[in-house]
Amino acid sequence: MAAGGTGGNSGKTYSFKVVLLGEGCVGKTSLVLRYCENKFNDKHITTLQASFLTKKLNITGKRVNLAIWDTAGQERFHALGPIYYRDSNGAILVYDVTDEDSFQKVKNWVKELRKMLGNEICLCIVGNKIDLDKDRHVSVEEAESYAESVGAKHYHTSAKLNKGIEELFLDLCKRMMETAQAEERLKGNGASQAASSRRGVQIVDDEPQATPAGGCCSSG
Amino acid sequence: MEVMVDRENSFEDLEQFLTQLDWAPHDGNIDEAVSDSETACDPSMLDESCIQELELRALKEHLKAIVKDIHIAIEQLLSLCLLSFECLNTASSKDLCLASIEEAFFMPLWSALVTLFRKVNWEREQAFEESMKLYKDVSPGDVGGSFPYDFAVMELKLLFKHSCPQRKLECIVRALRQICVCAEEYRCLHEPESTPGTAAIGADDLLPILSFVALRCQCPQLVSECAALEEFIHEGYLIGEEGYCLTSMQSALAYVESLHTGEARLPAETLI
Repeated sequence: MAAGGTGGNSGKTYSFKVVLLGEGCVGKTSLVLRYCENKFNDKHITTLQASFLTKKLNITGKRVNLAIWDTAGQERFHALGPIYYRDSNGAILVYDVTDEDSFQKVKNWVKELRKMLGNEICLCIVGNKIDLDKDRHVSVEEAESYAESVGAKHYHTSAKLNKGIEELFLDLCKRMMETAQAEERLKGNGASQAASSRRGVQIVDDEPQATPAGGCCSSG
Repeated sequence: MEVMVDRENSFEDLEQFLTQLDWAPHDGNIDEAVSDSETACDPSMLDESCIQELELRALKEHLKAIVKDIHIAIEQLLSLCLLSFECLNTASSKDLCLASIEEAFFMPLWSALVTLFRKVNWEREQAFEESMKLYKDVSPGDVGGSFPYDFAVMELKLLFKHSCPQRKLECIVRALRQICVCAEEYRCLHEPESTPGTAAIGADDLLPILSFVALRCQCPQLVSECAALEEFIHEGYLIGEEGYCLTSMQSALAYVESLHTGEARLPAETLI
């Protein structure tokens, strides 16, 4: 699981951690399953099933490893949230478009995330179950303007119809890459020097063992 | 080169992380804090709780220093290793080196180390034990049918047999995987008509079950073991499956600890 890439002759591998937040029945499990396995109906998933999923992507020539952390939506586990989302690069906050309550929950999480992680975390607010649009209880305008007001992006998805999910993740990845690149530039020439904290962005140059002869490291 | 830089950072991070662990009211350094309380109450007035608190604070500082020492020692051993065998200076060989070093390093050390962690986490372990007592009568019968998660409990208990953090972590990962397997079998058995897509369990199901598995483990020491693992998990594993499993375990333990206060009762029917 280490960020070190395998092979490849150039470029970097980004490792991003994304937390998935949302109340019990909003369909966040189906959403990630759809994305990572594209097996909405299949019962055979990875070892930790829908709780923890990984996905490898290639975006504009850069390799990206996504680790998607599901969190428990129940109120009684709420206090335990922070240890899940620390060091996250992105958060996907899911609500059910037919359930006003679940949208309120999303607002609470947004507040908490911004407070704990600041502006560096890329937020996605996702209205799921748009296949049930006739029962919609959260208006598109309200949701979108709220998202904009907190610097988040808003998406509409249907795990059932496999709508909007690819776009959501692709977009999020691009934004996380931009954030990481901006961070790199700030730090100078991209050497992952003095990361401010145990942040998940681990950028590893993986020139395969091109150790120059005698070029031994200055030991610490 | 890159490798070394990253490693050093991880220590800075660790220090930072440990500072955050200190409880808020006593932000200052230990000497200050001690002299403060000494002026506050003259020695004859020092009641037991006051002494206990000072003791605990000293212990925490001590533990912090030891954790740091261990990281530095392992780092030095790794550096020596890589210096002696240049060919090992690749990501995967480095992992292997680290694994072998740790295996040997922690073997004679762990029981003493975990004793210290247990002293520091004594209150948490007490809370865990209280909850354990409270729920000891929740028998498989009460929750319907046989308890399907015994294998997960067994896997988790194996953790105590190892003395290397990495091995212990593997036990936790296996326990969680086992839960997923059981949950899936259980669903297939009892709800063959269940909605497609819900057969795979997410954190909403995983955490309550894991909490129950932790309870059934009947071992408050688990709290301290996990606190120790948190210190010694490799940075590279943090966002991976291992990190996720440890985080879930920590959450489940914290939840179990909170159970006996009555604020959060565990409804048996939600467990399965």
